[in-house]
Amino acid sequence: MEDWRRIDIDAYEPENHLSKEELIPDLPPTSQADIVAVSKQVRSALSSGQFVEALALALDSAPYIADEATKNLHSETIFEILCSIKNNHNINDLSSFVKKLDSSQQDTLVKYLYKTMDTSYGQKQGGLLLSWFEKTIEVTGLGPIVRFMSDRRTV
Amino acid sequence: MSSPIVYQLGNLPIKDHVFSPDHSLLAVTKDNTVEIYQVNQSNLGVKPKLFTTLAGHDKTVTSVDISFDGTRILTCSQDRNALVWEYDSAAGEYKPTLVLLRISRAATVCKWSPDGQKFAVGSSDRIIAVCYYEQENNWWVSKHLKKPLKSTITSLSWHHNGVLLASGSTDGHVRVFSAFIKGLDEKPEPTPWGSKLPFQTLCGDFINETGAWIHDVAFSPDGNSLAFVSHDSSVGIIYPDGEGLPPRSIINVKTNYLPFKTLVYLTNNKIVVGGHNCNLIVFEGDENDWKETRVIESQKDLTKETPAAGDDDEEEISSHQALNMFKQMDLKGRLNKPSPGGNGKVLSTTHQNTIASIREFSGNQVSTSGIDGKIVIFRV
Repeated sequence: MEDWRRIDIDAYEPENHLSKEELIPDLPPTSQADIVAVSKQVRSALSSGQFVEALALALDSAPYIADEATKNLHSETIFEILCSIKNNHNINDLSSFVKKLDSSQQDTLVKYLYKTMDTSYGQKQGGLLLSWFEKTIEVTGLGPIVRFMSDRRTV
Repeated sequence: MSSPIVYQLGNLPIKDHVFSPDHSLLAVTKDNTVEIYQVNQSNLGVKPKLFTTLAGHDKTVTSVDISFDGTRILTCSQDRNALVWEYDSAAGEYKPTLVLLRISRAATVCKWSPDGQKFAVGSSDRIIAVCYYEQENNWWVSKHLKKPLKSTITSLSWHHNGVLLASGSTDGHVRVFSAFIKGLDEKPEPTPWGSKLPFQTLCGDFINETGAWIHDVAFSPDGNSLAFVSHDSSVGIIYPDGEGLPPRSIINVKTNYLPFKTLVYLTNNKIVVGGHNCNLIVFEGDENDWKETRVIESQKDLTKETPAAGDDDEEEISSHQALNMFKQMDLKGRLNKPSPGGNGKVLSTTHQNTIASIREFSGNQVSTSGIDGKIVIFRV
């Protein structure tokens, strides 16, 4: 018998296949202009020392339905906040920032930590990302990691 | 709280298990077979005795169920078949009847309807087969629920009226269908899910917030709400508001455990879930809010575990244990001296691996089966 594992059995049943488009969550799209506006707001909040507000704002406005450039722009904004918080505070204070976020913001934070680890600028600051990750998971437990892997609303 | 009753039935994973309604029989899936055990009803502490093995499938058995009167055992398997087993007292063994499912991929889950007149089989062929017995042909035949299914069915649950059927699938959808068979079912009373119910009516289609796989669904005992667990470690409860209307409320409780695989809707206000965290979690609430109220067993956090201080006396250890010790040192930098006779690291919970299925045992007890080959009865 030929190698039956390689037979494309879907070809025999052309109907009712799930397409990638159907798995995209039903959410309004975010434009690049929105994200640029958010990054400006974030920068002004950071310069006036409102770190928690900046982080919460950025995490709440995460673009799920947007092109890659927009998504990358937003993850750079979040990375900027994380660096800025780290540079202005003791490493042990990171937990208190995480605790001030609500549970969906914490989930989004972990998504961005993973995403940033995959970028060249994030890899240069690996220590910073890992300490954020450690402090976040200490507060939240494993849930956000599971949701990073299973959530179809990707950042 | 009394300690749970544990039956270690070999080391093979038990994907699904079911007790007969009078608790005299226990059926567990094992690879390509189903093992039937006789349970000592008066003293559950006695280990069940293997009664017989049902061997009729060619591939892994994915699900097993016993009808409400305890006479018929239903099994389904990745070999695309479902079998109905009935006890033949003359021959002293179970005889299988093949069901014409007409599916071309694995059957994933099977459930008897509450009255035992029909059953539903979910498959990865994007079909739910609703099967019933045709007297004139002396054969189990099936009708297909197809639209709008486009992905593998992971779980099924019957409403207590025997007509509504809920399904969970890997595209993150929870759907409620009518599985009304003309000539077999009585016209059901109207429910919040709908009143006119010809076969294949889609009475509800809900998507999980994250879109993650749905692992299990269950109607509440009163049938007026539907709960599901999904791979994002959350529990969802849906309260419908009537035909054609958006649901009254959808509650999603996020947790910080590993994903849940299975749930039972024990009372209208109490849900017990289990899964990859090897422990059972109890949720309580109503249509306004649901909350995690307690975990059944106290659990050590493995990510924060510190090596136990070992004693220094020299004892002989086997080469296998020595190998494990060096592996631990190499991979994890841990210096755990193995104890002779001990098997190294164990979890602090009764189940040592994923809980694959939970069933209601009695009013305040649930039975669980796990990948570790254990059947456990917990008081909750």
